[in-house]
Amino acid sequence: MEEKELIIKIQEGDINAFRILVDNHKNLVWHIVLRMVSRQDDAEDLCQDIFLHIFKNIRSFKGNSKLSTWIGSIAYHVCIDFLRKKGKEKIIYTDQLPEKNKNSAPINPIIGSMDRAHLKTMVHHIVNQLPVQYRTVITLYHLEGCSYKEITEITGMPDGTVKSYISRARDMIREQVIHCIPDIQPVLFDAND
Amino acid sequence: MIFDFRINVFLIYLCIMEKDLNIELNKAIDEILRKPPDIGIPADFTDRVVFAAMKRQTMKESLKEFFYKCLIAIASFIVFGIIFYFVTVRTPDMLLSVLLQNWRFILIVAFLGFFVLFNDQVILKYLFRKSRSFF
Repeated sequence: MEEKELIIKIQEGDINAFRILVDNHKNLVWHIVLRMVSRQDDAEDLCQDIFLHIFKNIRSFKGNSKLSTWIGSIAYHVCIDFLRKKGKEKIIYTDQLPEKNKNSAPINPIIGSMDRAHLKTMVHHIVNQLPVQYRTVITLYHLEGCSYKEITEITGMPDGTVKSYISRARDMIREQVIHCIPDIQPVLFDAND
Repeated sequence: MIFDFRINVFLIYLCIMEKDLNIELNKAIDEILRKPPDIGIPADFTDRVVFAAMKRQTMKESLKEFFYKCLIAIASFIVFGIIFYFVTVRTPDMLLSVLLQNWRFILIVAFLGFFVLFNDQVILKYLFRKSRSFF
């Protein structure tokens, strides 16, 4: 079923069409929400709220952007509202790039053997400690394969800010990995062998 | 001279190694970031969302139906009043006095009628759907 046809059917109240929409976009919403709020329970409730919000407001979708971008944008803003209400995260709206998240616990250097699985866990841990906007943009860029333009539409951040957030987030991850695993060489090259 | 040359070669080697290391590290980070998180979305998520949406839609439709029926009842009452007025050829004052004399009775009948209609159209439908989801 084509996107336009699907939207028209949902606007007419077709529940099966809505089921297809949920199935097609649940991973996008889940990745954004999980990355932004971190807690699984909160993430599940928020995802449900987001899809109900989409169902309620599908008439306001004019087709100016891709459906996935519109859904991503709703997910992003619902999460920002949630975080603001909880007061857990400091939401940065400027182009100012903080050195590191002050709320995050320091990661101690690892001495001894390490493999790619550990590296993956560590990278995800580092990502979770980045400021919320950084986490979101790198998730959209790397995991969802969104373009800069799409990320701009989803988050409402300027194009330059998106680029600098992605670049800065990657630098922060790399610095943290090197700090935590001083002897990174075997981890990287063993996996290639 | 030979010693200097060896040092230079070694330094170049170290630079290349560091560059390789950075490239490999970037590649590894890219690869990890492209992989989905370990925590997946619950398997019954779609069913739950669709059920919640269906419940909301049913409620909305029930309320809409209830209001339409209320409007029809009120309109019927007005039409009945107009017909009564023209058929009996009485003055509007007489009709008003009949209404004023029986306002308590009319209010109770109207309230009971709307209450029964609301329960039938909204509350019972909601409870029926809820009990079906429970079992």
